Amino acid sequence: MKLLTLRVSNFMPYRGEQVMTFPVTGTRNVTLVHGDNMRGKTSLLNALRWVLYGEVVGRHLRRISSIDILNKDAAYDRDFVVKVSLSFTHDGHEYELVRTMQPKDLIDKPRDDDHFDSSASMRRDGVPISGHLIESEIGNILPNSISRFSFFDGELLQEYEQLVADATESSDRIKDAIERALGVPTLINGRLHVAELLHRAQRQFAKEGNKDSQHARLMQQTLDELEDAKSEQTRLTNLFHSVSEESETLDDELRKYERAESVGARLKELRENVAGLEETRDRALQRRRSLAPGAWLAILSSDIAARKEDAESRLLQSQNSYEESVRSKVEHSLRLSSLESGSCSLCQQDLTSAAVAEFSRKESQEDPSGNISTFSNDLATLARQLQRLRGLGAVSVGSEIIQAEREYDRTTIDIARMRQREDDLVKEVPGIDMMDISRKRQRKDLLQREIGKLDSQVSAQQSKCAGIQKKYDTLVKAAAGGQEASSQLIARKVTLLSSLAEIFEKSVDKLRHKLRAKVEEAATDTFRRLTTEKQYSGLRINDQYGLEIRDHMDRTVSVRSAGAEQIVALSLIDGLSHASNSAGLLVMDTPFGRLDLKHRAEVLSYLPGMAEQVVLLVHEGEISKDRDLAHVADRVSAAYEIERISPTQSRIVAK
Amino acid sequence: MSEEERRTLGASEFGHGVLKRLEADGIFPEMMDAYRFAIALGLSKGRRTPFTGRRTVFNVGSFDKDEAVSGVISALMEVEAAQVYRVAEELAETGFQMIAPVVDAGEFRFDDFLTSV
Repeated sequence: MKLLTLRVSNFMPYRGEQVMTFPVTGTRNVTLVHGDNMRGKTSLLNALRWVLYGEVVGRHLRRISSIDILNKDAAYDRDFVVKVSLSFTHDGHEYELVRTMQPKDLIDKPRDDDHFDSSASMRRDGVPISGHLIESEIGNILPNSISRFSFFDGELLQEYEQLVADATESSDRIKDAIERALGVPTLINGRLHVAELLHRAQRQFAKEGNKDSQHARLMQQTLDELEDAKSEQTRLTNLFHSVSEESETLDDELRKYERAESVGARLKELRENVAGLEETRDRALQRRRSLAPGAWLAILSSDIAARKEDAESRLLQSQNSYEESVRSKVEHSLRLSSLESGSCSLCQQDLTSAAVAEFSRKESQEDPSGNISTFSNDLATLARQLQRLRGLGAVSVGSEIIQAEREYDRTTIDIARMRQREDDLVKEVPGIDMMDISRKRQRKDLLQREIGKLDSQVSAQQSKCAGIQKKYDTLVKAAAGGQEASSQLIARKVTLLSSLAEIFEKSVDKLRHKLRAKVEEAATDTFRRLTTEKQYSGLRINDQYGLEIRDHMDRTVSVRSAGAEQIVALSLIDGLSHASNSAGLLVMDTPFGRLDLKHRAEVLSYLPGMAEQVVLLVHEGEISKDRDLAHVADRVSAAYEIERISPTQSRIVAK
Repeated sequence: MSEEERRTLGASEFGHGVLKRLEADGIFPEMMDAYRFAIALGLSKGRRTPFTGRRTVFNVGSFDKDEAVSGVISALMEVEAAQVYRVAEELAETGFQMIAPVVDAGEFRFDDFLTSV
């Protein structure tokens, strides 16, 4: 398969039609697409997946819903049609594949997957292919199950890492896909076909053989037993598939609800926080109410303080005046008694005429009587006033009230914000029945246990069938000599088919062994070329097609860096391409993310040779136009840049 | 001629409505607390608002047991002792008029009064 042109319209970040061509001329077989994170590199990979297989996967290989495929800006402009066209060549034919998604009739504004119709059309060499044959035609060109080896992304790398671990459901799935890519199912189908032919011949032989003989009866009996056992095996296998299918369906449904469950958990947490804030708010309100009786004094605190200061100043002034009055009064008394006695009242000496004149002058000027009682009254009034003010000024709850009030305001705003967030979250998951999800989860657990049980029962039944089959084969061989001429041919047929079945059985194991060896050899070659650690001797493949790194003493390297994992994954891809002879197309999304500069240079030089056509979706951090491009410049046939228009819109620009 | 000292405190119908609302909204535990707050607002502005239609709301004895309110009024205004509670009513009326708009709007906040005086 070789890509020619990709047209995307309203697909994820691509509003309106965007066109890319993938020319391959001479040795130039690399198409380079540069784009920063969140611009739409993986969306291009998904556009290829969608046009081919009608599905889009996000992180952890989860399916992306139709409503999320539609470009947000297009939806806003009420343009709800998504279209992706891909032209490509394969096996000498030119194909044009178009997939379209549009709202169903009578749906004015689609809101979920059920509101869309999706359809595909395909032309081979200009001739339309009937709708019901499109899927099988694509299956012949690049089956979805092996497309993972052509469309390589980071998620796939994680899956490859699991291959070296113990067998898991996921590693079994990848092993199956790898074996499909390598053609193992062809031989397995052959084995099944021979087994079916053998079964028919055995029945024929039993019917046509010597029915009267005891041996024939025993054979018939054994064959009946075998049929019963196989019928039971079929019943158990069908039950196993049906339970597995129900489990997978439930799994898909539950995956859809994961978001709802996560939102539910956040809602619960949010509501608990709101309840806590409401308690805080109520406490603040209660505190404000309990402080409110003192608010009146808080209002007057500055007036009271000013008045207190004034009263203290006046009191001090009055005290000074009072003391001055008392002193004058005492001096007045002394002077009067001295003038009356003619001698000083303090020292008892006779007054001189000058002293008498001075005392008389002062007495004529000062009359302190009457002032003392006035000052005394003032002092008492001021002291009372001050005492009262001092008592009041001590009580002020203003700052505590304001603090409580601000706490109330803050929590009220926080509660409103959280309530708004709660409304938004509720809108995100309208009408989700959490009880139903819980029931489905319980059912899923029950089915998982049932699957384990059935798996063991199927294995036991297989062993039982194999035992009966062996017994029957021995009977057939023993009877073959004594058959009449008419039965001899059938007996030989049975013997031949038995031998053929054995050959097929061994061939499947042999093929697997040989293919593993081939993949291991090719992957080791690639690994040695790409790794910068020369102490590594190569890779060893396990039953799951996982690749272990071997050191220079052929020991397993148990701790592998992220970069080493990536090199091993690339080596596996290359090894599979060589083993399956299908190295046509390789589209790689962010393939250099984990590599250091040296590894990056090695891989960049090697990549163009890994397939006939290589498309690299990279960001500047992986391949710098200035620093790294030189390694691959002479192999680049086209280069594009994904430019950001807005958070919901990008465009593809040819460079 | 000096007037007889008041034994009760009163308010206008309007003021009485404000008091009831402040108590009902849980802003003050009792109407007396709200009345004192209204007096304090009037005092802080130094403004008395005469009114008609007086309605008795409290006894002076229970309202001002420790004479703190009368003491503050006397300290901050030159008022004769016999006139203190009459003045208190007019000061409270000033307070009611300041409080009423925010109470009506449901936006009463002590912060606004405490930081503006």
